Amino acid sequence: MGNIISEKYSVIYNTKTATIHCQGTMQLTDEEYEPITQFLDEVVALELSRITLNIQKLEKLNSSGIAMLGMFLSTVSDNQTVELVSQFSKKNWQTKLGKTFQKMMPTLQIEWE
Amino acid sequence: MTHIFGDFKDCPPNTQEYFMFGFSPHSKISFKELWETNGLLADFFTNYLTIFYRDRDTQALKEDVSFIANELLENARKFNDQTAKDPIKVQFQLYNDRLILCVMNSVPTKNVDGFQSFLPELLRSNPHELFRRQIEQGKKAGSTKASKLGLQTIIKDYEEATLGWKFDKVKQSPEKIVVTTMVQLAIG
Repeated sequence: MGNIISEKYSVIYNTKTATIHCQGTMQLTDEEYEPITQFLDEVVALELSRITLNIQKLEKLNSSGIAMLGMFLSTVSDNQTVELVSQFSKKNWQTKLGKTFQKMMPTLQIEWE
Repeated sequence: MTHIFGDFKDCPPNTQEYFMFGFSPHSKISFKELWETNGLLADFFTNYLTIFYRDRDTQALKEDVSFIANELLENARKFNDQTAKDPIKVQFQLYNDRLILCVMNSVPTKNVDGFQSFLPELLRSNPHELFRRQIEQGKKAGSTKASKLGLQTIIKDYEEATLGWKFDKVKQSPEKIVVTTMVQLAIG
C-alpha cells in the first residue's frame, strides 16, 4: 500500500500501530482527494480489528477534506467489526471536527493531544 | 432584480476600517495551481486583519477567519461563471464587535435555481443531520465534490457567524447574475 507524500501534506499508514497519520496542510481540490479516499478505503479493506486516525499534525483542512474524513468514518461505521480511534490536537478547528465526528459516530473513541 | 437569503445587510463599503481586494477569475495557469492561491489569500487576509484586533484572542480569530475566508474563496473559484470576465471581489469590514466578510462572484444563470433552492435547506436543517446526509451523498457519488460542506461547516461549527446571500441581476441580455456571500463573525 503506497503512502501519499507531497510537499505540503502526507497521509501515511503505519502498519505496526495500524495508524493513519495525516499531516501538513490539506486544502486540496476534490480531484486531489480521490487517491487519498482510495487509500483510506484500502486501509479499511485490511479488515483490522482497530484503526487509529491521527490528525494531530494536520495544520489545515478544507471542507472537501472534512468530507473525505467523514466518508472514511462512514465506511468504517458500515463495517461494524472495526473499532476506530481518532486522535486530535487542541486546535480550535480540530475540537470542532472531533465533536462533529463524535455525533456522527457515537462509537468513535477520541483522544485529545 | 435582487434576491436575499439568510442574514444579509447592505453595508456601506467604507466603514471606519475596511479592506477590498479583487482578482481575475481566469488564468493561464492550471485550475490546480490556481486553487493553491485560495489558501494563500486566506492566510494573507487573516494576518492582515489580526493586526487590527491585537487586543483579542488572535490565535482563535486567525484560525476562524482563515477557514471561513478559504471556504468562500474556494466556492467563488469553483462556482464562478467561467465565461464572465468580472473580477472576483473580496471585502472585509472591521467593526469593534464583528467582522464582515463579503465575496462577490458571477454565477452561471443555469446554476442559480439549484443554488437558491439549496440555501433554505441549508439554513433550516439541523446542521449535524445535514452533515450526515451530505457525507452519505458524497460517499454514494464516490467524490467529496457532492458533499457541499463548505457553507454547511461554517453554519455548524461557527456559532458566532451568520450567513447571507444577495443575488443581483447585473445585466439583462445576456443575463448576468452576481452573488454576494456575506459572513458576519461576532468578535468577543
